[in-house]
Amino acid sequence: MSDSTVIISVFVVLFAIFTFLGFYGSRWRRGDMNHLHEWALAGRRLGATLAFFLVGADLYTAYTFVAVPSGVFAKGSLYFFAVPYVAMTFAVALAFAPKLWKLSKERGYITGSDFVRDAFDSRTLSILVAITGIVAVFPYIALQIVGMQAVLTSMLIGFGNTETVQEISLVIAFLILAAFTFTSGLRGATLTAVFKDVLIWLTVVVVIAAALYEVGGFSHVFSNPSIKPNYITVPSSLVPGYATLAFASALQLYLYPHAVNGILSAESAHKLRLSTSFLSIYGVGLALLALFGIIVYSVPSAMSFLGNFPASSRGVLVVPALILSTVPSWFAGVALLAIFVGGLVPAAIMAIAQANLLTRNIIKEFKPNLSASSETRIAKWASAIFKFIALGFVFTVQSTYAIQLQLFGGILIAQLFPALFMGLYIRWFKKEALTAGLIVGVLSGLYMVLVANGFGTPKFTGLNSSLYSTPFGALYISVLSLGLNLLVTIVLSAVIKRAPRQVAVQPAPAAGS
Amino acid sequence: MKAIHVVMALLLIVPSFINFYTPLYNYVNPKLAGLPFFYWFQIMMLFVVVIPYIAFTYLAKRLDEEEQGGYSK
Repeated sequence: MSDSTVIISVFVVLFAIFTFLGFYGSRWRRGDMNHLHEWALAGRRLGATLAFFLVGADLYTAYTFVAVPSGVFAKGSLYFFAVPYVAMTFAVALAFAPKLWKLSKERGYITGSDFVRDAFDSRTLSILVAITGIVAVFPYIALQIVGMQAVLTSMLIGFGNTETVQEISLVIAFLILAAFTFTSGLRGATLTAVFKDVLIWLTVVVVIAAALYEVGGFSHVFSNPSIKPNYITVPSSLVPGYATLAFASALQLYLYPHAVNGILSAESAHKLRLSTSFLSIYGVGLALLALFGIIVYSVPSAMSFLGNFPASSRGVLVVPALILSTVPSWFAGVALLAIFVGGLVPAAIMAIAQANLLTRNIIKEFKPNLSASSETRIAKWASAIFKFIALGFVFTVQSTYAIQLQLFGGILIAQLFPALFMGLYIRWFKKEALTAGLIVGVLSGLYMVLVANGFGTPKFTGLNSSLYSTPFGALYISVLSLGLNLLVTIVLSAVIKRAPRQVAVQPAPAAGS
Repeated sequence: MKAIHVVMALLLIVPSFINFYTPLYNYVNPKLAGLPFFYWFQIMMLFVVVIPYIAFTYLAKRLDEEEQGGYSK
């Protein structure tokens, strides 16, 4: 195997450069960082290229390097659904994001909740939207922590017994994340996102080439006897699950508060559409990484490395194991750093978005006279505290099924689709109907998650499944609860009678600065 | 609703339906460089969808300009 001194040295040096970029970023094109608008939206001045990287950053997270390859490794082609998801999600973005951008520009929104409050004139609904956004992001951040932990574990495994190394890795990953978010803000995170993406592309291309060279191409990979038929196509019983996982994930991505930040920080609607159009090509790296989960079976040294770990945590180590066994040590250091910051940067961006929602759409509702600097101070501290909650979610799954964290968050965030996206075009929805729909969607989603995982029975071992059996096959819970949500929203909107609201009379909410 | 809106909707819906409808590509053969059809088809779609998405982008831009010109709506 590789030389861990070299790997760790390269990793540490690059991490130092990365940290410097983060700090420099907070000074770059400096605005007044005491304004939330600046800390959290980078002053709405990101051109097509940077907006591309900011949203692109969201494509290359621990979801991509760790969760998807892990799912493919453990369960086969079902988890390749991430690829059609990526192809579809930009169609959803093209349909809704520019409209949200335009309205936000006109009326000074800096969060999705701002839009909902203004469009439907409901404080209750906007607070519920903010809370749903904040909660849905916790498991997603937890997934990033699992990814960072996996990288550290794979580097430090020579230094102690497996369990201790995993625990120490988790603590270090968590501390670095907390410190990074606190200091950099969105501007810093965006600058580091460019750095991160360059390293990631380098890693994906080099490692897949090295691994395929070593195993002699895909024909050998797929003729390996340990590759069962469910690794080659989707078994017919899982087809409904595959299609609904892809479809619902596509609806969800841009509803996340950090994605809304990404949308709003674009410079123009056209630039936003243009960068969105190209992002699916960017998803090719995700497809290749997913294939790592199959390729690894044909690399004996990687398999023996994974053999050092309990089965429940092998999946998340697939990509690090392939890196360690196919490329020279110095490059392994580069590649592992890429994956590490691939979890760190998105987690920071997500935490910033959460804090933004908390101060602007929850605290300010009750304390409207909050000064700009105390608003930012609260946001920064909240983001630090929130990370402990995210950490709690790390313990709800076996790490091999870390993808369930993202899928669970997805079930919650999907419930914002009627209010936040459909509401951009359909003002006919009544606020009471949207509120009831959101509540029904979230509660039914939680209920189905508990049932699907056998909660309260001896079968329950944490979050292992997001599929719920129906007469149409096992479907991703997200589409079922969103269906109920829509049903309630539409029926109640039709039933509730009210004189049409006069939108124009309403004062625009104060801009973020 | 104008024709351009229908065209724009189709530019997003048609490729998305192909991606969504798994039975369309859930096959082993033909393989490409050893990669089963299931995998390479979906990877190829990541490139293919860019064409309708870009077309959508430029049609949307035209609509935006018309609106700003004031003779739309």
